[in-house]
Amino acid sequence: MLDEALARASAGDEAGFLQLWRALQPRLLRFLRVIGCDDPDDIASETWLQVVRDIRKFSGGEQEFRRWLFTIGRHRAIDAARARSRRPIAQTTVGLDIFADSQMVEDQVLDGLSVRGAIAMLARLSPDQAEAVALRVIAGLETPHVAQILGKSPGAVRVALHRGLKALAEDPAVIALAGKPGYSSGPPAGPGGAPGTSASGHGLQTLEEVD
Amino acid sequence: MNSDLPGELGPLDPGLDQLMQTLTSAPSTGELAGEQTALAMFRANAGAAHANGRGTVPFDGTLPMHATMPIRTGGNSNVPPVAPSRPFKGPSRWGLRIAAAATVLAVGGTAAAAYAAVLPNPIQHLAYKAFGFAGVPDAQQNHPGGSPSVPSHAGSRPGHRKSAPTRTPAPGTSSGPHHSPSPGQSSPAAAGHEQLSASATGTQITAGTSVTIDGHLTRSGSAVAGTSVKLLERVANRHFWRIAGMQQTNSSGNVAVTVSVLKTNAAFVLAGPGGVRSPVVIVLVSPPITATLTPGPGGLKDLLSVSTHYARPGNVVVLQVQTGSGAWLKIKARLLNANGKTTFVIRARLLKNKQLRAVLKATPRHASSVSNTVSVPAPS
Repeated sequence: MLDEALARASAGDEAGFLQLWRALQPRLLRFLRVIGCDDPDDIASETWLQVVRDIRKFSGGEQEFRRWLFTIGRHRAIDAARARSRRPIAQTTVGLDIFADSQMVEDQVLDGLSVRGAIAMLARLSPDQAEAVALRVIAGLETPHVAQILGKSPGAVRVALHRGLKALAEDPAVIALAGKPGYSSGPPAGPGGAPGTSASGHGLQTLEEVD
Repeated sequence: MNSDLPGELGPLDPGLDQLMQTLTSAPSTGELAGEQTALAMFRANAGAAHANGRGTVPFDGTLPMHATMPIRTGGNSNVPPVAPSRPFKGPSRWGLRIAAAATVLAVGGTAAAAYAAVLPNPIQHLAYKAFGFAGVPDAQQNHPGGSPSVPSHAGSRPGHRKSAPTRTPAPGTSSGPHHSPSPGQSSPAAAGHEQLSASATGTQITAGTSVTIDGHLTRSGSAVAGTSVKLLERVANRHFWRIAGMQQTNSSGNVAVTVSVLKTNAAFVLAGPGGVRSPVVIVLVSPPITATLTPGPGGLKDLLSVSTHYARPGNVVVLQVQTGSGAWLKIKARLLNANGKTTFVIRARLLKNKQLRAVLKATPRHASSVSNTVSVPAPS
């Protein structure tokens, strides 16, 4: 789908490059957020800087370009993490960014699950599972390419994918997305408490068994 | 299911499917905020490449790696331990950034990115140092919220110095059909010190009833009379704003526009002349829900019928019972059918003399609703 844009961008065509950038920049940012990057905008900017510098040397299709882009992004993020560990600074907001949301409140209300919320759910997986799922789903890479980026075998990536998706499917927050019966979220309700919340999970189980 | 998901993963349950769709959803305006910067870099490098006469080589999937450490705490032990390609990386990283800043600022037309403060912080700061006299803002001076009339929540979150201002284009200027822009917000320059406030007669109303959005238009602190003000509405799951009504301000600068029937959650904005916009007002609706208990044969198995309006098939209804302490406990849940109804079978022997109620769970389209309470009679 992006092959033509890639070819045009490699030839120096701005419209082709913009098409590539618009298609992949959001996914790059989301991937960087999943892997815990503190400043995804900055890392993405550095990533694209290397891409535009070397795009003329690149040859390959869309999948290869995606693999190249996300490999650069991943390395840049790892570099940034390493640099940060060398020069530790007091950052009270480290790690909190993922829970912040670029969506305005009204959009969250109207749209339901936000991208940032979804990223936060994905980031709760183990690091290898989160990265595998992010590269497969967000980056749109095929499993062998994910395996190459992660330095694993395709089989190991498939296992990580399955385990990650299974863990997500069992995440109460994900279950709640589907409005599955039997799930109750929120704080315990007092007398006349909030609708849809149970006073205790144990009590719920007991009553369900009774009925 | 999202097309990005591999077939080998098999069918996903609805919650997981929704999560995957969200992860691959259309980009927000904030995610595309650095477009001009990227384009400037591309232009500059395209010119340099022509000058250098670079050739094309195939990409073999490898890169010079200088990464030896996992990002996340607890780490990924599978990151290949490759020796750094650059023993001292700091200056090089800054070199990249300075080159990027120079690239951006050297290319005609792209200085707008610096003026718009959409550059990454280091680049924006360099731009400020070089061109601050011309009005380029510093990175630390970016105020995501922008104008005084921007809702207080619009840019108050940490870590979003670039996305918030560009997320609110005026109606009709959206860069893509999937974006969900708010209908523009006022800036002091555009609005000429005009301010427009807005409030709703109720922030949570019964679905199907009316809501009135009250506004007050002032210019330099004085009420503005006889000015047309539009009410813009964005209902749940719609990505565009529409004009829901229009009215002229009275002698006190007040305006009140009524939406006669509101069936879903909605956001409202009042729009005055000169681009002045009010903060966004959200109104949630609660679908009416009623519960009716029909005693079964012998009084053993009663039937609790739940009926709703303005809810959708598949919405979740939870049956709750009141305990001796007054708390409500969930017993079971059902999905609404196509007629907006569902039923629960009640075992009167176990729940005799108990108080029951049904709760319609909230969705993006509506808030939760609580039915009337019914009492389970003892079996005869």
